[in-house]
Amino acid sequence: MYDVAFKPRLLTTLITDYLPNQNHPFSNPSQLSKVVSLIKTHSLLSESVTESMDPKAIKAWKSSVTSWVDRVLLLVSNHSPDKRWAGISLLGVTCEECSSDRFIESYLMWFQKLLSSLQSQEDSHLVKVAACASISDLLARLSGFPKFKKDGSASAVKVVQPVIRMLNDDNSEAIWVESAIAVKLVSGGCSDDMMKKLVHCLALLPKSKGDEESWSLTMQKILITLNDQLNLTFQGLEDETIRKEFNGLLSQPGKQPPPPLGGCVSTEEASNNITKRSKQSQTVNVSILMSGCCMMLTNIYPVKVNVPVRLLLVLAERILMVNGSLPEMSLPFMTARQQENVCSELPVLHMSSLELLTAIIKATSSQLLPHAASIVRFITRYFKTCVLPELRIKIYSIAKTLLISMGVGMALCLSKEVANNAIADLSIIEKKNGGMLNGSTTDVSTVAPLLVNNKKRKHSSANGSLQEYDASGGLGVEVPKKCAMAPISLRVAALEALETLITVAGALKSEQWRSKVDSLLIVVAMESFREGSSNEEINGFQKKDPAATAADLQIAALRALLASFLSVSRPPYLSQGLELFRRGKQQTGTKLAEFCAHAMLALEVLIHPRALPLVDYVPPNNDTYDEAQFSFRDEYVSRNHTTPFGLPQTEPPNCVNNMFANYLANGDDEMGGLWKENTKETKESSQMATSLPSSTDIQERNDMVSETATNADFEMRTVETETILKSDHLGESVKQIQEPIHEPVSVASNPAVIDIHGDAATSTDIEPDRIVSDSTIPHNEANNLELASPSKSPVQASDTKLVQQFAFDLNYGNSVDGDDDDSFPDIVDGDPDSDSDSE
Amino acid sequence: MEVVLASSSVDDGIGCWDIHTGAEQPRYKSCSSPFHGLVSLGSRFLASSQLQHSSSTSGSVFFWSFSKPQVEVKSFPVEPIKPLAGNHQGTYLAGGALSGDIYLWEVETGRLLKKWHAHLRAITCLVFSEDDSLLISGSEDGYVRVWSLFRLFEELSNWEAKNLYEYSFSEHTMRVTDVVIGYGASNAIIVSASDDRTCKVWSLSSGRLLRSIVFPSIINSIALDPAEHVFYAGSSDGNIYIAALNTDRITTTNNYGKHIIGSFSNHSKTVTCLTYGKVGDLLISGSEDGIVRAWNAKTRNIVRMFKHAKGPITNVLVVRQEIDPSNHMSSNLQASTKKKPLEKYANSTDEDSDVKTVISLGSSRECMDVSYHSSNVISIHTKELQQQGSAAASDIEIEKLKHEHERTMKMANQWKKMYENLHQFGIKELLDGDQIRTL
Repeated sequence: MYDVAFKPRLLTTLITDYLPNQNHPFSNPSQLSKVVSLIKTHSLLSESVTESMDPKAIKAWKSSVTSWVDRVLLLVSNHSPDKRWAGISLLGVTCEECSSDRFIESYLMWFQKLLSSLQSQEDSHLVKVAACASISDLLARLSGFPKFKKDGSASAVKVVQPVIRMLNDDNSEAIWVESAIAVKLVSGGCSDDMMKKLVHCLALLPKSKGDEESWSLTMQKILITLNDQLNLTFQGLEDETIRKEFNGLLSQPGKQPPPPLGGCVSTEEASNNITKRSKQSQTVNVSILMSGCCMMLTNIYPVKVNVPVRLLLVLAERILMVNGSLPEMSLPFMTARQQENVCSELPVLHMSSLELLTAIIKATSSQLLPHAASIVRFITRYFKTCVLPELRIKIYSIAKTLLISMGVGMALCLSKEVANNAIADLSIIEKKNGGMLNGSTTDVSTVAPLLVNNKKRKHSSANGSLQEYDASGGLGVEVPKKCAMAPISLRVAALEALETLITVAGALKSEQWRSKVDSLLIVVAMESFREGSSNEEINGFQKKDPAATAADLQIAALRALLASFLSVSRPPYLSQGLELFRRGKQQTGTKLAEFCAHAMLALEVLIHPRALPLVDYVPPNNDTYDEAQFSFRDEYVSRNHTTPFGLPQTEPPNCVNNMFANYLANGDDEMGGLWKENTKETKESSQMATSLPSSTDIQERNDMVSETATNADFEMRTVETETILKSDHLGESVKQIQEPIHEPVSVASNPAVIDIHGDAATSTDIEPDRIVSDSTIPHNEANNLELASPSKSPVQASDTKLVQQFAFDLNYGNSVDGDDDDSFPDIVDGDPDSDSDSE
Repeated sequence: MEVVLASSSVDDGIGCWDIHTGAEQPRYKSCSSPFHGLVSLGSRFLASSQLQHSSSTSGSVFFWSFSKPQVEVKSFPVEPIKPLAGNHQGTYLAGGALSGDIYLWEVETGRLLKKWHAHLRAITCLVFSEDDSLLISGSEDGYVRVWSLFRLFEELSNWEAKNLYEYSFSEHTMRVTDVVIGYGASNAIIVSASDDRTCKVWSLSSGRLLRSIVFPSIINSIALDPAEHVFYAGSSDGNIYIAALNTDRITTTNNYGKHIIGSFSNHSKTVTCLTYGKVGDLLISGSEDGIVRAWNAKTRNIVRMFKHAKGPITNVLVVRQEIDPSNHMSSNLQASTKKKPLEKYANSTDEDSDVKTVISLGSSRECMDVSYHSSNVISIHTKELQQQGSAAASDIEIEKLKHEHERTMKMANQWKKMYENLHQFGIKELLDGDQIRTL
């Protein structure tokens, strides 16, 4: 298969057996496809030789390729049309496949052959098409050799005339490409596909010159043509002010307007045609021309150009503002028929102007800034009125692009609108199945109360846009009987927009919508996992867009969910989400499984944080506070804030220990010494037992985490052990004060204590009662006891509110001096509740 | 090529060294910049505000294109500008004025897009956020403010809201000396340094003070570690302190204070500016003695030293220069896209000003995916021919049949002729035979 000697042999066989020859009739054209595929897969014409090859084989290959080319050329000049067609097509393939040496050697001759067959009048259609394709291949190949640029352009010029003649075989005498295209475009009567190709050519035209001037000129010509068409179409339907603004921007004062598109010819013909044309073709033209603008904006251009951004924006706005309803005053001038015509075409027009908007955003990227405000204003307005799913999808994608390109600043303005609309589009599930979800799965039951709250909130709140939206009844949100679900593709778009929003600005001033969106996302994700649920069946009928399937929706939902998890330090539905991702991962071989595996990896950091984030800083409410106390509180606050299971990832705060140690040392020397010894030993033992990496070495820690990643339970357990140990030791030391007899025993039996508590911690979660008892019993007895409780209770206190309250109460100095006992039992009592709430 | 750029407050040009080899590159001439007064715009231009004599009332900002040592464009804004900041693409330039105003120019056209009163006193430092949508300013009055550029352009809110800023951090009691912002769109952190000997870490998402770190001396300059585990703070006592961001809790064994992990110093004098080179973990520092030092951030050893000026270094930058000096084509091209000087006033009267935007369409890299059609055409046509569905296919078929017809006609004629010949021959033979017989 890879033997070089095999290739010329195969090629020769192909020539003799499959290629039609001079005399035999050409019976089976399908053989040609086989020849082409063989040539391509084995690159039979490439003549790619290396030094190690046998020179004989090289020679054989060369001669066989030569005979191939000869045969093909013979076919090209054959008088039988089918053979000529075969020859021309195969010559195109040869241009693509042959070695560069051979190509450079003979491309001029080939070009002449092809050109002559292109120019011959009486040839059949098929042959001409083949000739065009082959010439295009030849020129494409030639573009790869910068040395022959001049030759190439010289030959290309020769092609232009015959091609134009072919374009206009209705014998009009257009001689310029631009006019030829323009005539075709404006007069209409081509198929859609053809129009697209034509406008693409038009958009590419300024490239042939490659200077700024010609780009602007073409753009302006297109816009002027567009303006004429729009004026005709929207007569009486649009707002006069915006029309005037557009015209004002279009015609620059003191400048001669450029000649119309395609020169005089086109205008004459166009004006002739206008009378003949139906309204329909006009709107088609508008959208085609607009797509031309888009292409000009998005295609690569060699020099910088001056883009009339404002003008284009006004154009898009002008079209989008027309909703087909008649303004009061123009009523008499408009027939119902006309209105019908325009309205039936409006979705297409809106779509193309949205596309234009996208193109503008793409082209200007960061330089959109001065115009961004108007775009946002406009989009928010349009969002509220837009009903058609296709248009909404487009709007979502525009919002997405804006959010990503303009970043946080844009998100601040756009977040509310996107969130509200997405919730509206997605919430049908919520409304319809909210009740069912309650009873159906145990997973959802925890979420359900929240949803009820949300629903209530949504209905009762005076949230303007949302209600307006609902009132319009656009998507049939308010019609529960019909169960008009938003199409899957729209829901996918809404989810994607939410994902982007969360990604860009999930944490910045997002309080208004964040909790709503989070709960919505988890419900949508769970819903997507319910196999064969009634949703899908309903959608089987409604699904307009076969491209978006339930699987797409599922992935979109999970992607958004992942973003919502990752953008906050403590996602509320993490456990449910993890379960979903785990289930998704089991669907082997699907995209879903791939994504879920990725999601699990991404969430790994959340479950086992590798470094402590910056702690939340509580401003001092008392000037006597010093730094150390901040640190002490920060430590625990951060612990409770950031890690869902209360995992302390770093070593215990030394300063705190020192503080206690100092205090103990002051109060009771012996105890102080004991305390110090205890902490030291604890630290050592805990380090030994859990092998928690010291966080100074990040590398080591990362290794460690990945090592233990597979066994999350293990790490959790050990860490908890440490936590409990810490608090217990305080209790222990406290006990020692009560019963001095135990003192030596407890010190000696330290490792044993660790084991016991370690086991206890595995069997249950943190055992609040036990710890509480440890601390509360001695609480009233010794003065030192307050020291024990403050250090412990925050460990258990996972409720942030509680922590704040605690932070407020915990004035260390006061608790020692003032001896107020009351605050501690409160906190301790609160713990079990808060734990059960959060789980 | 990654280069280190350094400017000083005395006119000694902008020093330029290759960061890998340490080789000195040609200097950009005539520049004496204040702190935070040197920026690179999209790795095409250098822009630097200039220190002025106290007598002059207008400011001055100079531009160099990377390919030329001479000042390319000089512009003179209405008031003295000190700190400058450019967005990452180099399309916008922000400048902070003595009066507390911030100016925003479009680089390409020099248009003054916006000017607003940001602080009560002079702006000391400006920085764009990672996604270029926010601008963070520090001022002599101790405030650090976060601006959404986008909102500044939204004229409506200009009228409605009194405070244009997103956040205003007032915890610094003295002049803000430096502000940096880290990665992460909405969860980014902002670190600011001040004359009050503290560095403060702010959360962009919550707008709160996360951490306040007290240093032994005034911090002039901050550089964030790329992974944001620590930040480096260059202080007036000549030390570069390392302060923890999200690494481990600091054991207070050292005598510096909380959150400060350590320090390193070889400076006899004040560290005036710091920057972090992404290549090779290099920390670049500028000092009052006019020397630029490059440190290995891991080992904290000096890797290179560049002697720049007699006076204090005010700015160090690490920039990737894309222009290859040997390639004249590109440098010519660079010169052709000559930029215009910055406008002094916002031209609200000129209609044309914000209607058009100069844009380079598409990416600069050439897109050369050539598509070939022939084989496609073959397969399409083959299908057509086999099904004989289309008019074109039947055309060919007809022509083929015509040829066939012609050929068979010829053949028939030939046969006919032959037959006739034979016939003739036979008759002749017969006649001849008869003649012979009759003879």
